[in-house]
Amino acid sequence: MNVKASAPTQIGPRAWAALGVRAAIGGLLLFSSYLKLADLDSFIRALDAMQLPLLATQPAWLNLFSDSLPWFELGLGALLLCGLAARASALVAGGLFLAFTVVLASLRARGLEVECGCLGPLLTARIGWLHVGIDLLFAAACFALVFWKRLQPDLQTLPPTRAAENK
Amino acid sequence: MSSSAKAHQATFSLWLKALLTWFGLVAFAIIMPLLSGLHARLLEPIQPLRQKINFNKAVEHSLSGQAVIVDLRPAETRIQKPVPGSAILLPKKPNSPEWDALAPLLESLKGTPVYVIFPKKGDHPAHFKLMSYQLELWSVDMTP
Repeated sequence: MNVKASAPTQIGPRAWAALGVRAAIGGLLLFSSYLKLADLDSFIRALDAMQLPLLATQPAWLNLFSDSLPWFELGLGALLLCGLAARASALVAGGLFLAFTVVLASLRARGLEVECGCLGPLLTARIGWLHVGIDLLFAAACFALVFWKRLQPDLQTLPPTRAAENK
Repeated sequence: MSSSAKAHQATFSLWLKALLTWFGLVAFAIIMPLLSGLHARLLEPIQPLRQKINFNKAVEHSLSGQAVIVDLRPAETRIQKPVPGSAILLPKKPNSPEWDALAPLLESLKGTPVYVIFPKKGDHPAHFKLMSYQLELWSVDMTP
């Protein structure tokens, strides 16, 4: 009888790295959304103080944005953690962090002394270049998940199918 | 199918999936506040400079100690039409160290009307910095 011992499934270090980055960003988005949902009034105050275009002059848009952004983050974090449409979700997350980077950089450049509001009441520090750098780093990590070939699932480490074994 | 065509199709598929994910998340984010009943409430919205005051009236209030005037005009214009009494001058660069010295004064102005005289042309960067102190700002109308 020819019994072949099946080789244990190997997951390459790159796949682990990609999983780690995805879990970290997904977890951060979930945590951030939870903190915002727990204190939506603080979040809307922080947004109002930023005097962003459209939101500063249209209270209805400000309310809609502050009500929905935490849910957007929650959904996106859940998608990243579950690995559902992982690359597409990472692309959306990259766009979101890039948008945060642009907004924070413009506020910093204008010298506005406002609170970031990124992590609700946990991060009440005023916006600094550190915040801008962190958001840029997250955006870069998301885009690396999407576009960096080395972080894509390594097909060679996947277990062979029975059809391939019989060849 | 050639490898370049496959790569092109994969890229298109990725962007399409991302677009669909984005639309799905936006729909989820709009529906969930309605379902959960969680809504943000802004008790006192910041409405900078929707209030206007005439220059003469602003000077009158400033001289009587009811308000303060912040003059953002360039030096040459200030000389042509100076503010009687006194006015606060702000540095043009938002990251200037002078702001640190001015911070206690600006913080102490909470509750006091602050009348801002803007330059005729362009915006003054200090305007945005001033807004962040959440003061009661009024725009001064310089037309006689």
